[in-house]
Amino acid sequence: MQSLSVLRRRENWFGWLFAAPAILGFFVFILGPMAASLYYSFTDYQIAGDPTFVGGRNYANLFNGVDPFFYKSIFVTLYYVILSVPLQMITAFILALILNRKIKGRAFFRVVFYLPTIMPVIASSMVWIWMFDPDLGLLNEALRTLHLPTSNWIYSSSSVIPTLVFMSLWTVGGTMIIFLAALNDIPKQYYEAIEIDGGGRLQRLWHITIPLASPSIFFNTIMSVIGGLQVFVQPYAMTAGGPNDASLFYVFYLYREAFTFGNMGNASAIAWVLFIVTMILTYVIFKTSQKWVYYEGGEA
Amino acid sequence: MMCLVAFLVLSGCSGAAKQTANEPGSSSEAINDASTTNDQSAATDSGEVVELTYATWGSPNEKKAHQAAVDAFNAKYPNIKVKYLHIPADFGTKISTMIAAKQAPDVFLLDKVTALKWSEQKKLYNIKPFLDADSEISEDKLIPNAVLYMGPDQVAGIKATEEAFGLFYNKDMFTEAGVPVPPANPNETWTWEQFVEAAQKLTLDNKGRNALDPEFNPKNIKQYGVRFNRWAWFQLFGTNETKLVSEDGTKLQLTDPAVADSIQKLADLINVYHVAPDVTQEKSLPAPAVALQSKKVAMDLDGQWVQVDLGASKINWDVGAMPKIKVPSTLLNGEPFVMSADTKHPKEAWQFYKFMIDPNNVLELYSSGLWMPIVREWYEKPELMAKWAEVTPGHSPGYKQAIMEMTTQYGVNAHDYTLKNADKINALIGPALDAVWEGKKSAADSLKAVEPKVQAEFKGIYGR
Repeated sequence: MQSLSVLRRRENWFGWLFAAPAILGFFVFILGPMAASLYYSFTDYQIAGDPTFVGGRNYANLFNGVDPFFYKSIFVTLYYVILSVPLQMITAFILALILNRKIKGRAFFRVVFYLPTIMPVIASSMVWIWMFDPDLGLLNEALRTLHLPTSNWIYSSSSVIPTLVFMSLWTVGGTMIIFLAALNDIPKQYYEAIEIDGGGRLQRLWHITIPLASPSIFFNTIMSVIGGLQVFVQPYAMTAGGPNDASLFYVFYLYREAFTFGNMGNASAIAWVLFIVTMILTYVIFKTSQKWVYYEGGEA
Repeated sequence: MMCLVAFLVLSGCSGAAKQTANEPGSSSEAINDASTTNDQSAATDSGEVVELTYATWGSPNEKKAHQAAVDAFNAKYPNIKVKYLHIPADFGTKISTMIAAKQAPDVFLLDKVTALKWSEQKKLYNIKPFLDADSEISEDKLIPNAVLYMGPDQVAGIKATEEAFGLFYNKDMFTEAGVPVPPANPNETWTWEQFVEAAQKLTLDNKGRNALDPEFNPKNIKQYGVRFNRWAWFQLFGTNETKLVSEDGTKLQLTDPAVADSIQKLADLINVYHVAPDVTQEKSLPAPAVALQSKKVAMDLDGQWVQVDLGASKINWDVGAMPKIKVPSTLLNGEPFVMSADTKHPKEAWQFYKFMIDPNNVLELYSSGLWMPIVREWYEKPELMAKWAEVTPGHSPGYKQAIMEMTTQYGVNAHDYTLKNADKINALIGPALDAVWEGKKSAADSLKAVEPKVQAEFKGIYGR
């Protein structure tokens, strides 16, 4: 008995030891900075100065419009999310449906559509800048060849967000892979059953494929909303938030507040507002999910 | 494990606390030393080697010139060892984090807006006492506008270089169009109308018709008369005898008709006269020097730093004085050298600071055409001017009048040398002007619309 307990204690010790890097990393790189930024969000902290406690002033300044960029950046970001999330979902789902069929070169196309996601956003942004060039860019060149009206893409305040949404569709490969896995998991019997009942393609999609893939749709929607709220590289590398602040994404605005204007306290408050908004949105999606997400085997 | 975390946090804090202990304020002691001891003795007092860090941004060529200057300094002062830190990109972000970590370089290049802000927050060493007490360098030995005052007795920095705007042009294109070149003499410079007319004659569509031709097709322009920098939307304020901030520094004059007019005149070059590329057309133009070289653009309303590239392009170029609306004037835009308040060796840092301001030590930056000295005698003594202002290919015949004389006689600092909170104010006005460049709104309307927001950010001015 004695020796067993020593062994168990030793195992316990090793367990902690092996988990230590992850736990330590969490404390040092996540919890610590989060706690610090929560504190700083209640201070007036210029990057070069020392923080002085100001209570909720940073938050108040955001919401009562003293900060001239806050609402603008929220509008820009929500516009992007509302436009991009459904389009990304639909595109990825359709791609998954197509690539789930026994078409020729299926493996090849799966790789091709997944490939863009492994490319760093900054690199693809640079390439897209060239494609979007109004005079020499590939896209307008193609439109001119087809005698269609051209666009100013990221260089006009009205088209910059739709353009960035369009660009984001290029990287739906990750979402597509998750959909593919979900489609693969749908038992064949259901399709056989609906065939016997005389259901057509649309019925199959609507009554079997979508409900059974709904957990993955749910997951992807949440990930894509969070991703949309955190867009940074595109405005940073491509538009600098312009023209006329039309692509002043929230996280870019946060970065600028912190590192261009040096208002760390204010930037921390901006970051916490994003954190809370993200939580609320995720919560809302979770709540509604009970109405439309179907888990095989009952409650998840 | 928790102990370990606690230890890390504690040690981090104590490190910071130690650093804050040697804040500024105690500068007078160091100054007294500096005024009594001069030159080499400052360093040789203490037997040990003093280490300093120096940081700049800049191209690979600039890096080489800075490194050479640092090496020369280290050779001349064996008791001081300067380490050079070249930060080519995201300079502001990196310096910010270094400052926050209290590990800022001792001497560094910094943009004026941040320099003033950090000086106000006492993160930069007040070099006024040094400047007053030094036997070799003083404010009256510098060109006007060179010293960046945060407050009456507080200097944030001295410009590392002067930068001035001029009208750079490709001579051959003027010959081909039969248009007289812009005068270099500030007192005979073109009026705005003469400038616009020349630009019209130099703008050609795909059929070779110029912008004065009634048949001219603005949709298909092959050669533009002029290009300008939209970021310098305030570049004509001086010549239009106006300012963004009122003379007494108490209010912003966004609704001043001359302010709007100065911006509108630039926008009209694009949308009314079709002599300058619009936002999208500019995207497909090469860099200014190459645009002149490839005859896409005849004149470049730009800062003197383009001379490096123009010199390298081997084209037949020269520079004329900025055209005038009411009076001759040019926009000055040089960025300052600053000293960190956290420096442990202010005397030695000042020694190095002075060394870097002396054009002899970084001559390559001046002779290449990139920088302009801020020491006055380099604009006055022929033997000194010969060392930089006459050196080709970075300088052209018109340089002495169009740039040098303009700088010392008619130079005007941009508003961000005095305006508080200038980064936010610029971040509001800049985007608001996008619609003006696009021709969708007049400058007056745009400024009026953004005015309440900008006024809310107005917090007065710096300066003596």
